[in-house]
Amino acid sequence: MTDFLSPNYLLTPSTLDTLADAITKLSPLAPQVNADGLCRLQPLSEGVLSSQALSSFVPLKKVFLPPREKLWSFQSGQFSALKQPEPFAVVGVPLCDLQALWYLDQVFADDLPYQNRRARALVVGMPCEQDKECRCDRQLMPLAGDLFLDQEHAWALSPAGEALLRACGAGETTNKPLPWPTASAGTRPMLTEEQYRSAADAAIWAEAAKGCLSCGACSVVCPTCYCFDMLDESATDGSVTRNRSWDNCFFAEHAKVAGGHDFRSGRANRLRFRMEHKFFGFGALHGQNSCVGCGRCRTVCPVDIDLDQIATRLSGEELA
Amino acid sequence: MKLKPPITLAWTRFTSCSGCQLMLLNCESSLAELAQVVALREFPLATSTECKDEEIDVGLVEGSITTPSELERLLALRRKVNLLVAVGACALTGGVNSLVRGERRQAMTEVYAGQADEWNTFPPQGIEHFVKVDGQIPGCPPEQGELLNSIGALLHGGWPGHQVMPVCMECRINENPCLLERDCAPCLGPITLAGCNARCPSLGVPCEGCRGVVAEANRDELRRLFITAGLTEQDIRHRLERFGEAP
Repeated sequence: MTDFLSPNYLLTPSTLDTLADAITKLSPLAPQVNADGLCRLQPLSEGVLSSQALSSFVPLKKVFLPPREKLWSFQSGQFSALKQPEPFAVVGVPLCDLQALWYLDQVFADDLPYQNRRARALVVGMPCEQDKECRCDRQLMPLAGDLFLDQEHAWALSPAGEALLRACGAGETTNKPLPWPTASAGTRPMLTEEQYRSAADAAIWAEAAKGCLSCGACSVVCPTCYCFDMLDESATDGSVTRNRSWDNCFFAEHAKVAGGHDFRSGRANRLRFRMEHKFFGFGALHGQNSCVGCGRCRTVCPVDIDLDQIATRLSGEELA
Repeated sequence: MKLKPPITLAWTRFTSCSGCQLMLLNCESSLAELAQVVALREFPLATSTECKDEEIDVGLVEGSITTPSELERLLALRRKVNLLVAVGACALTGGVNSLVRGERRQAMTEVYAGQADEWNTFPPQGIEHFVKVDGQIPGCPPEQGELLNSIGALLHGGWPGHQVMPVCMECRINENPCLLERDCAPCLGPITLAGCNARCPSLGVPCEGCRGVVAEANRDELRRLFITAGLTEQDIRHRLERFGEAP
């Protein structure tokens, strides 16, 4: 996996300062806990080096796939061009969110607004402390991003990251692996696609979905949920704007098509679909489990729906 | 069908507070532009002109129907407009006018005492109970953007699409603390149609449900959460009925 290939540089205090200055110039965003107790990715108020990796309520994806964005507008026969964002940085990204970023990079490989933002971003991971909801797995998928920093080392995760490190004076490399939290992967359920498919009629789907409010919180906080809807807006000046905004697979209209047919009616079917997409993927990403184990969905769910618990029951094991 | 501007528009008010009209009047920066494409034939908050028997492109209706004479005016309006749009909670579901619902007789006597019977009224209802409605703009009051975009879409010969999501999702996107979870507040966000950008919960006020109920709302589960949060069955009923929604 990528982390073992990432060149690791031993940083001197002066290199570290130069690097911090370079990142500060990019008006970095960082996860910060606010007075109301919620952690949000927002403009960094402290120095780069005093920031730490935290699990923000809404994950990193909001930076590259905004909850609502204008894709284009059209007026008097003229399309407006997409705005190119200014270069920026995000620091304090936990490892699980760097994996999620890799996943979204695959999904949105051909998406211009997404790639415009990605190309201008310097994404900097930092060591995190595992909390009771975390179940990360370093083997799950590669990491995206540019740098990973602790107080003495920097790992280059991309050619851009490596170039920045060298420009800041880093030279001496070591073999130190990325600092993944230690006791994590063991608690993840092992549900196979065969087990999932053979349980199509299991009572657990209706049972677990009964309490679902379809509030949409789970997909907002999931670092790899990316379903979106597109709606056109017509202004009174004759212009038309196409907007894209986040969607959720528990919404009644999510799988509704022309003629009013709904090919995933009822919450039980929608829960099954959510599990299938999350754990087994579709299309080119079929077979890739995209649950990075951050635990945000089970924490935010007002009725305590826990995909891991469902997966454990379907696979016939008990959750450790 | 694409309408040729200026389109003729009549805003008709029934039992309501005029707040919906005010929302459109408050779109100051768009009014000059709007005047280029819309010919107002009736708009009680801005002009005393009333439209006659001419054919009208679009009728916007504010308010609930609660008297026989209102019903007559509504039927007459339907006959002369090509498209009829219900604007705001009162026109959609009866709105706050239908608050007293089951206790109507008692409330009438309390307020009007001996004169209660002199008023020829019936329980306030949304206009869809009486006439065909071609479009709906929910909210108490509706969002300015939604009013303007609806008129914009009519100019293009269509009606704006809406994302069927609850206020809860907008509230999570705005990264607000959850009032239901944190404060055990009776927030209707999980079952209320979004589109207001979670206006109230973003200000710390639990959602009142003014935009109506989202499709396939899980009322049973919300009721269970409210009871866990300490609400009584009557509290819950009043809460759900505030904007005319059946419990």
